[in-house]
Amino acid sequence: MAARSLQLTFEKRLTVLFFGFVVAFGIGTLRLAQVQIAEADDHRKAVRSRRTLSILLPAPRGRILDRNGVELATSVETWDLRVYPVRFRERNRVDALGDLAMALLPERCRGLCDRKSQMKADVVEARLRRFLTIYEAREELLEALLKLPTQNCLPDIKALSRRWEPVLFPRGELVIPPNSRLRRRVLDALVILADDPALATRIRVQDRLERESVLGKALGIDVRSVVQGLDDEMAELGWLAEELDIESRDSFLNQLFAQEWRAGERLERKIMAAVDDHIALQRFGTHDLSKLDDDELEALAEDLRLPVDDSDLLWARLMSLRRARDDKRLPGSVEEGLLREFESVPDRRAFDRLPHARRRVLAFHLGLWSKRPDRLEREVGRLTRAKAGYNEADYLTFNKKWTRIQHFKGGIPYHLGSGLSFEVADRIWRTFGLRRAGFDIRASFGRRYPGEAEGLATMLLGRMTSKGAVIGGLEASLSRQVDLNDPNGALIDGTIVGWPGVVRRERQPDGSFRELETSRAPVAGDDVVLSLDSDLQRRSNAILARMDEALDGRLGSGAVVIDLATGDILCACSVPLIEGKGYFERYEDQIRLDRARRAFNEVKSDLSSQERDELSLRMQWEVEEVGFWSRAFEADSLWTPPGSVMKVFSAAALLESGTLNPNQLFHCWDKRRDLDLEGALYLSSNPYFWHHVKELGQKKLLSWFEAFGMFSGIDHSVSKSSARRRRAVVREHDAAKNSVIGQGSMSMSPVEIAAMMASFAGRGKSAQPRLVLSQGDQENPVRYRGHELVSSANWRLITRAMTRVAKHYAPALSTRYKIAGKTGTADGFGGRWRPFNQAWFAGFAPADRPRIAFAVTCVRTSKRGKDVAPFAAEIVKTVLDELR
Amino acid sequence: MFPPLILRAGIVITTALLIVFGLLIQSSIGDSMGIHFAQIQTRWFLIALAAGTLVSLVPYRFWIRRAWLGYGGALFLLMLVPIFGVVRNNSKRWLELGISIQPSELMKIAFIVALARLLRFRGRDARPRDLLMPGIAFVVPTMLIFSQPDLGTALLFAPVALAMLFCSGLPLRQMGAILGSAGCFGLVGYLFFLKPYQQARILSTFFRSRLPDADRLMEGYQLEQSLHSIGIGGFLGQGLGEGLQNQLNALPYRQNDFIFAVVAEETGLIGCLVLFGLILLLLQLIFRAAVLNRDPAARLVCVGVGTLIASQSFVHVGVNLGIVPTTGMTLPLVSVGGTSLLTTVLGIALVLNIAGRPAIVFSNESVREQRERLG
Repeated sequence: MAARSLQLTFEKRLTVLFFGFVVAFGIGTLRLAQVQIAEADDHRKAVRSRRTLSILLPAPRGRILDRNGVELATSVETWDLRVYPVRFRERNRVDALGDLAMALLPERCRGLCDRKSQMKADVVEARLRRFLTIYEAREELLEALLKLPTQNCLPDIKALSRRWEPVLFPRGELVIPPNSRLRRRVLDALVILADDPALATRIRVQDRLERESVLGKALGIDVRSVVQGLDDEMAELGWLAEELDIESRDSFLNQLFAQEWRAGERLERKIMAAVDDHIALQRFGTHDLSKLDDDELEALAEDLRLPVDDSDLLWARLMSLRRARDDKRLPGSVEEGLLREFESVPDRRAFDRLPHARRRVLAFHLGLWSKRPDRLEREVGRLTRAKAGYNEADYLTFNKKWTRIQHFKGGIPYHLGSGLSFEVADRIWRTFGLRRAGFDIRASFGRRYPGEAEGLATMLLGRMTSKGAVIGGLEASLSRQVDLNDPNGALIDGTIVGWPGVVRRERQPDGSFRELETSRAPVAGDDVVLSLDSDLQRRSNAILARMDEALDGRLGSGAVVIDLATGDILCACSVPLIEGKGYFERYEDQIRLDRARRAFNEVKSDLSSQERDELSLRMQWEVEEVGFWSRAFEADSLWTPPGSVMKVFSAAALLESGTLNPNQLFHCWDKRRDLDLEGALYLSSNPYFWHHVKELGQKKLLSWFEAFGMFSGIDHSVSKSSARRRRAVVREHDAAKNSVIGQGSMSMSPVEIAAMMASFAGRGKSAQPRLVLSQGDQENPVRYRGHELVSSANWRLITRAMTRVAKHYAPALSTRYKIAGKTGTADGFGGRWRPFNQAWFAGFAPADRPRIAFAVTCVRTSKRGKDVAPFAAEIVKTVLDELR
Repeated sequence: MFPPLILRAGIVITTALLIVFGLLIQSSIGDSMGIHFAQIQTRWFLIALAAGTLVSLVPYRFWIRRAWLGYGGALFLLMLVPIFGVVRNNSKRWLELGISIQPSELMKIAFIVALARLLRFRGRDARPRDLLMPGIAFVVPTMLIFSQPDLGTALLFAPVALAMLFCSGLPLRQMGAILGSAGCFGLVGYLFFLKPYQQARILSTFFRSRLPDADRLMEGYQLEQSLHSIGIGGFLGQGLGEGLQNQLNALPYRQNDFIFAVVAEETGLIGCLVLFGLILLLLQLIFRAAVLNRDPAARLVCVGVGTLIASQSFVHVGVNLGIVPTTGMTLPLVSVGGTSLLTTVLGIALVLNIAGRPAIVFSNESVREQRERLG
């Protein structure tokens, strides 16, 4: 009985145990179902993407043509070449051979690794020398290496890892990456020699290293095959240098290593910053010193005494010292000494060329201490480390995620060249050695501007950056940003940029690539036909350039002519022309200016009010000078008040609203006579309009202006974006007294004034101005806007006055072409522009049967609207002759 | 209840099915290595078959009586490993004695037989001091294997020992105390004895989705690839020799530590369920053999062998599926691995031996009754 009860107990326990395993395997089955059924798609995608190489092919962008079919911009396919520094260092076979040789055959490689130098030139030269020496000795080294017994290799490999550091990071003081990864990197070097860097292969080689007795056997390679591989790789580098127009392979390598050094430096700086963050956190309770309040920062700046490095500020202080000396109110002997020290510096340009150290001396003696949190943070970190005796090698165990990930990804890539052809790109893709060594090719869009069209195209159409991002201009309104990383190109909306194609190649088990059916060819963007006539544009631009020179326009000139029948913008001229290259130079200027502005904001609290004004003014000048926009379309970046040109529309508004009797005389004190409307328009009398607008008021006046198309822009958003804001400013801040004569905050572009003139020429009804005639198959139809606003009698009255104005200021041409125009001279600029005007001449022609409307302006000139009139008449003549 | 003959036939057939299944999968491994692996495995299978036949022919009591000899021999080999062992994959687990053997694998079966002998008369009356010798027998090889380092195999001794203790009739309270202490030891071991890479592996298993990509690739590359292999297998699999991951050589060590991923990729969910079924069937048959025999030592040997096969299989599958931290563990009878196959076959041969000789009764209970009766 007892035995029976034992048996039962044993069986029960066994049953419990068995069911325990059933439950365990049940859990396994559930997980299996989850992975194989619920997550199956994710895994399929991951596996497929790992096997698939996708190459994005840029789409040819649509051509841009003028109204006569002349090409203004064509599309150019370009490819950029870039390299990942860490990947090149770790994955090219010459370096792999060198590293192994230095670790395993140290006596043969003595003197090849110079660890002491920290100077870039020395490091790069040593790197190049080492690289070439290893390559020269490849056969001999390989023979010795491949015969090595494997059991001797593995312990030595640990030593090898340390030898890599100074090359990767020139100061050789940081431990990167963590030791757990070093062995893996050594194995990578071995695998690279075996010409297959796949991770799975690496593990297999690792396995074979422990089984086989000789290194060559473990790697499965012989001297001849590796030498052949190395020669191929070097030949590819030579070929690449040739493609990039670099004189020799060695120069190419030198350039490569210099970039590598910089990348190492940059990474090192990031790491140091990460350390400093940590220290600052310990000392101040925050790693972000910008969170300290002003007093704390001030105290810290005084404490650390880091001289400012802002040359704008230093130059301003030097100038104020010189003025003080001239006024004989120099504060002390230190300042006198300083002035003597910098006596030989005549101007700002020379000051900028001074060595950095000398400028710092100036800052030091003037007691200008930097309060920039980032500089302070670095200095805090440096001092604290020095004080606490930090051993950076111990401290930096590579825990910072950013640097770790950066390193893992191969660092930040650098550009080696651009404008390569697809053939070069394709050859690199097919060259396993180059791809493995971190060379990467990316497609980019490019524009070519045939003939003289570049200036026009650049100003008007905008350019694309290498990443396909639109800087601005017309092209921005015809396309959206293109996401090159999206293989489907799904973000493309506008047709001008087309649809990128993609070549998808799937790796086969035998290592070859098969092109997938999902590959697709790029679809070219649609051609865009503009309303511009390039010949007219060129000739008008020449006239405008002459005008700009004659009138000494400090910030350029602009002109626009619109065909009244269709609303076509026939020419949109701008001076100065900005060529393609200059465009980017200007762009860089603007970036520099932004930096200067930030520096100014940082130190302005330290400056006296006089210095602050001086610097502020200089900044403003620069902002205006740097602007690289089209003067025909832009009214936002630069304040361009239309002045008396607006009196045409004010007169129409006053007449049509019944608040003005045109024949009633009014004593205009500025002209010292009594004038009716025609006289007031002809002589451009301000008091006449000030008096009569009182009854109408600002709100109604602006309504009339808007009825004439003010701020409505053109069919594409070249200048449209700021219209709403400008309208709001005028509505809120300006009085009728200002608006009626086109002054105050009002800022208008030539295209807007020309559009209003077109509207007036049609008595309120006109064709919507258009810049694009067609895009692909889609025509941009003529659209009419507005309704009859001005009665025939009133229109004739105002036109008569305008004709008199034109005849007066451009007698010959105005009579022949019956030009009706109005001058405008806006002033009221502050600062250094106080003596300057914005001069306008705008109108339409012929006066009896209008065909075109025009607006011409000169920005910041000492001359007046009447001086613009003859040149505007010339432009009108050119256009009307062409139209006839 | 199965008749002994059918039981033995069942065990042999199930084992043969598992081995054939393993050979098929091994031969499908890409990179022209598959046939090579299958050849190695066949060679080892023949050795194991000869050894198994020998073990099954000699009455099992012979082996149990000489348990300490086997245990001592295996321990001796284990102690030779730190001195004469060969390093592979950062660990010293192998001895080169003409052929490459892994003493920790041999220790598994030696440990089972020795523990069965120690526990055969314990059970309900076991006093704490009765657990001293089994404890020592457990700790010594475990520590030696742990120091190789081979955490996976070392930890495998724990479920085997616990199952044998449980089935020896140990009171549940004592079992609870032992399990509690094991948990505490595990925690202390994790915090103070595991190397950083071992801790990282454990963390990467349980918090994989939270790890950054770089870490996931660094610490969990194999697991990632294993899951991809299993995932693309789907319901029916991609067919033998057709697995993409397998053929593209994406999964390292797929012939031994990750063979389940190959099974899942090439035979799908169906194949995996068949595999689970075979393993559980084998376990059930081994446990039936234990029930048939009245000899407590023989019973415990069966429990030990069954638990060893089932828990090793579970750990292997768990590692492949990411529910157990990554550790190098073969799938018994299926993975390539000479000593592992030999050990498993020896264990099964012992079970067959026990199943064939069920008669004699020597139970703990009856001894006590005899003692009482005799005063």
